[in-house]
Amino acid sequence: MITPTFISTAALSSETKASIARIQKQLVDAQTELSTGRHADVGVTLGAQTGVSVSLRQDIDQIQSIKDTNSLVLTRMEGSQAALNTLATTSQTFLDALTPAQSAGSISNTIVGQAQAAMQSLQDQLNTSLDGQYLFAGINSDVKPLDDYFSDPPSAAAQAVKNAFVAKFGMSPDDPNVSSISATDMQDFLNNEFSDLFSDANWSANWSAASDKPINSRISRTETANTSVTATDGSFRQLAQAFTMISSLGFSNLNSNTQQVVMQQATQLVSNGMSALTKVQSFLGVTQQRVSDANDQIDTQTDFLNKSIDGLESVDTAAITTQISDLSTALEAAYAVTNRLSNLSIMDYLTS
Amino acid sequence: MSLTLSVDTARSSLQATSEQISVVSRNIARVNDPDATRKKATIVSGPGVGVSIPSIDRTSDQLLFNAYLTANSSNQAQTSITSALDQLQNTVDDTDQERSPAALMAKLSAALQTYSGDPQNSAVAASVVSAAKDLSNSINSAAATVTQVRQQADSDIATSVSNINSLLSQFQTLNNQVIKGTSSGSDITDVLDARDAVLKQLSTEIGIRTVPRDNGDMAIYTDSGVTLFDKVPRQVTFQQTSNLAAGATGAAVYADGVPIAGTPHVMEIQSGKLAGLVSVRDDIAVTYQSQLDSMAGGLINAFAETDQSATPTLPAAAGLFTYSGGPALPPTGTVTAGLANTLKVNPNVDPSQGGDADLIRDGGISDPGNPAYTYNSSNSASYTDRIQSLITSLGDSQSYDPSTQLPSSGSLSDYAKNSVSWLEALRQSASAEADYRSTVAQRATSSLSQATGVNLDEEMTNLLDLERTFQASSRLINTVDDMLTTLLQSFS
Repeated sequence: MITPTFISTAALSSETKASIARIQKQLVDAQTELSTGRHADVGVTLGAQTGVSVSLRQDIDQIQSIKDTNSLVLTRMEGSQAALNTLATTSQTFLDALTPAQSAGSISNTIVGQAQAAMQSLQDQLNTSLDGQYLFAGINSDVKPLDDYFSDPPSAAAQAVKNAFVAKFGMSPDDPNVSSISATDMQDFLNNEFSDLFSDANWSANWSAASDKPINSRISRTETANTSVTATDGSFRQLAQAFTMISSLGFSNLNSNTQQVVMQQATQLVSNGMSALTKVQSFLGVTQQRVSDANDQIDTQTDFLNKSIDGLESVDTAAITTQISDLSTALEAAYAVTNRLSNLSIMDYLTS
Repeated sequence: MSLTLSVDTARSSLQATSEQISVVSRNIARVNDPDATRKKATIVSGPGVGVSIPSIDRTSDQLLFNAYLTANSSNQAQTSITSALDQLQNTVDDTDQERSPAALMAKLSAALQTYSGDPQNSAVAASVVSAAKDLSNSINSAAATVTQVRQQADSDIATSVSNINSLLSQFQTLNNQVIKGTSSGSDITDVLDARDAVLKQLSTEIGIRTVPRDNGDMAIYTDSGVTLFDKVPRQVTFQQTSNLAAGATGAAVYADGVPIAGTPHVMEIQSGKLAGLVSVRDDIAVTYQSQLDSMAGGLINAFAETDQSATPTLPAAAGLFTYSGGPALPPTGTVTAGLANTLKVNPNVDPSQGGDADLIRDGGISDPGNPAYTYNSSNSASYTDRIQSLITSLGDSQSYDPSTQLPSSGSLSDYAKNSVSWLEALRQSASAEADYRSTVAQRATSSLSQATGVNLDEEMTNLLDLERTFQASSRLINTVDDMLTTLLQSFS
């Protein structure tokens, strides 16, 4: 006898069992979502979109690491900038000492000492290191760019200067007879042999161990920039030329005409060197600006990327809270129904 | 009409009622058995001989039963696919965990970027190596998981096949009993139930169609039409593969000598656990493996070192990442099976294996000391060109085998990202499909149970009726007895 509204006892209980299990599963998911603020199973919820979320996180990793290296690069550039500032001040002081000495016609011998001090300062600044890295060494950052010019035994550079002098004038710069050197001869020496000592090849051979390749850094995902100044730059060479001209060519013993020539040449070189130095500083300044701009941009991008990830993965907690209370109610109802059903047995009503 | 006849009729009624009560008690006993159908005793009243029960029937609904078989099979197929996908999903984990090859690729790129900012620091170089090791380990373990999933599927196929064979032989026994019982007219309802239960179990393993024959006989075909049972069971055979390495093909499943799964074939089964497992073993897991192999190949190629001599003569060689076939590079644009399993960080660059991490900056990982592969020829501490070019080449477009079901060109990180998308999209649709099919299966189960199952309340009500009938019949006999007694007394 099949009645139209027939239901089997097994079906009756399995239905409630199934619905309780389903609600419990949903409840567990909803609670996970509430506690994490993200979808319980991001992969299943997003499906093909999951790759987007992965890719956004890749981007964040990448730009964050760029930001980290940028701050390192910025610190280095600030260090370089400070060294260049000191050097500019030193050069200015030296120039200030040269100018009145020249016009007054009476040459102070203290200028030699000042030139030595300036040269000392030049090599100190160019040897600036930060965290074991020489800032002006280019990519050769583990090598000190300049040896001490005034060291004993004499450095390669000092020796080269002396040799050139001896070759030209047949006497050492320390020789008191240098007073016999004519202004014309000196001018010739300064323009040719001496100037030659500061050519690219000789500078690298005798003076500087720095690489002429500046450090190249990736400052954003698409940009790389040279973020260091190397000791091979022309401005440093001009300054070194001017300082050594006064300090190492027996200046004190030269006759006043020749001294005049040397001083004119030195003044010229210091002024040129300083204007070149300004260019170097402004190049570095522009790069610093680029890096800090890139960092600002990275911050904006990170914010945006995080928001995008949130948009993909996060859940509306208010909606989840409502959902949880709905599910709890449904679960309670299911329990109540189960209880009622188990009580609702014909056995209780049959009397023997 | 005599009194004796009345007693006979009452007696037949008592007999019939007892039989009905026994049917009720059988029903009640199996009230919670999902395979049990509701039995009913049909009462026939013949002229003059009271009532009799010629046969006991069961409620059955072939349409709903077939619907159940189909729904169950397709649900089982989907369940095995979903669970395999869940296992594979462990290889990418939650996006938040950042343990997927895609995420670790980004970490490696970030480590390189940090290194480019501090290239003379060997500790930072070592951290690049460790990021590279994390990445190669994650690809290795993903590949191992794929192998494990395939191996598991293969052994599950073997189990499933042996289940099918044993179910078919059970079916034969029961089917013979049904044929015998039908021709002799005995009560075969319980045997039919048992036979249906076997069919239900069979539908779990493999999609089937049943065809009823004369005398209650039944033939079974796969859903693709291959005979599984016709008078006698057909042998289902399968050779389990002991080591399903990447690129190795698992054996096909044959029924009655015809391939039904494992090779592309017109008679391929569509549903059941077996179909799901075969699709995992031969399709999903294989595709994922080929994606991992492509990633491994892409990494080896992206970090390859080329001859830096003025006139290059040496071939490009595997750098930071290498594999069992290194230092020769794997071909690009095509899958080298098993590459993901043997991908490793070159020992020449790994400080923990006596290597030199600075070689990432300098080049020459493939052949330390060979000036041809040295990029940093001036040996400068802050040489960043090579590091920068490595970062760039990670983002450069490469070509991939289109058979991996991912875009055939794009950057390596995009490819890894697409692989995550591919897997999760598959999981999403599989999970939605599984939900749907399990709802259908649940619905089919309850429809079948509602149509053919036992309701306790109804059985108890029937019992009350039967009790009354029994009482009435007994009373009748009693009354006739009283009447006969009265008659006999009147003679004495």
